[in-house]
Amino acid sequence: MTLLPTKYIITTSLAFRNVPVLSKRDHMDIALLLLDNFEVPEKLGFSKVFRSARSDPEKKFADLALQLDEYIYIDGNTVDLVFVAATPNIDFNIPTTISHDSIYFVDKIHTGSFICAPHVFSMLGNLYKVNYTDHNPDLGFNEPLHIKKMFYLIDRLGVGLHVI
Amino acid sequence: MSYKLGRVAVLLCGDFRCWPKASGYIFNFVEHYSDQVDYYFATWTTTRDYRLPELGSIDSERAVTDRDVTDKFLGRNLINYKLVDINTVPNYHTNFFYQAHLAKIGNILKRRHELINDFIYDQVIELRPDVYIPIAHDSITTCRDLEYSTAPMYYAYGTTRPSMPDLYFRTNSFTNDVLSTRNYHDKLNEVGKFLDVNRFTPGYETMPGTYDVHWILLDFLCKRRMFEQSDRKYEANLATVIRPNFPDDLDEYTVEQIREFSHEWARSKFPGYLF
Repeated sequence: MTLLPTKYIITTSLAFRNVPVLSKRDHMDIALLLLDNFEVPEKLGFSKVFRSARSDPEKKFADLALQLDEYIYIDGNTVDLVFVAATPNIDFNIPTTISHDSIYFVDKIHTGSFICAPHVFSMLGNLYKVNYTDHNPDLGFNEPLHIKKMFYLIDRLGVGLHVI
Repeated sequence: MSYKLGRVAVLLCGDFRCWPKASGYIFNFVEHYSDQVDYYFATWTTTRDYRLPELGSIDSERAVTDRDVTDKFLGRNLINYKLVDINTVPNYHTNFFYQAHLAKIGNILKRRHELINDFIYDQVIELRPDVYIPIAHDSITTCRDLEYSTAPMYYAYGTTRPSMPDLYFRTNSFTNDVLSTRNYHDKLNEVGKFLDVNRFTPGYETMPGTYDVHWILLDFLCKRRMFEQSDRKYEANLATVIRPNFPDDLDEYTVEQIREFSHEWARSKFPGYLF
């Protein structure tokens, strides 16, 4: 399955024309962050693809968030949206309107693939520092710890949560 | 006897201005509370004594060199620093977001060091390099997740409304990572409700709905549901920007006298300044 055809990005950018921040440009700069080591077909329209060699999932988040921030703020590039892919077979069905202060889970939630603005990923990416167990009882669901932490932070930081 | 905060990162983020004069006070303050301090510095490649796009440029602009930054850190841990050309950053709505941009750069330098060396700072202090901040207490309490501690600033345009000092923040490492995303608040169009540039004139008492960087900051902290550490109101009696007319021995003066130095400087710069 193709991850994200180029034409889909073009269609998507047209759909965003009513969003004030994005209407200034004719296209969006989208970064793809890979949570696992899989191949991505070329020419998908992504401005940049980020990978991390770290094995610990929480540190991998932090590494990717750091790479993303360096790409934007140190190297001076623009990123409008971040697509985070946990598996190679993801269809990023993007909603026609989007809030930049929300996170959009794609496919099934437990795969951990989502879309968000770069500042949201920057906050969530440092979840390895959060003292989760001190503040939150274990709710008993079976997701890995970093997914639990992510949901805790989405709620705690007032980030909107959507499933698409 | 002071309570030590553990390993502390100090992020000096902002316009260079009177850093040579302020550095001694900042070192005294930070090193009073911790024995293990790492410093990071993010500033512009140029500096001037006042920079508000809404009011135009005042004062002569001067270059900031690498040596200007590193000179004062002899015998201290300056881990990393970055000089940023202000012309290369996005065109933000207000001055507040330029400062926030440098806070982001400082945060990136800190995160990189943490990740590479596999540790997390116990506390992070983010403050501007031109700030006078005297020690007020012997002990302070560690901030936990999404707690912050700040210091009262002298506020020239009145103090009758909710506001947030923006000169000094102490948090833990994760909270600093969240705090450093505040420059994105501009892109979210959140600033529109505060933006009324025409009404911002020196000496004018700002009203709700009027442009004010301290409202924007308060709005951001509320949005992220951060809360101020409540066991002690402030860990310093004052935090104020050191202006060029300030004397060198500020610890010898009272808060009121230091405020008067600040008024004196503002009167010399702005004809309409009423205080």
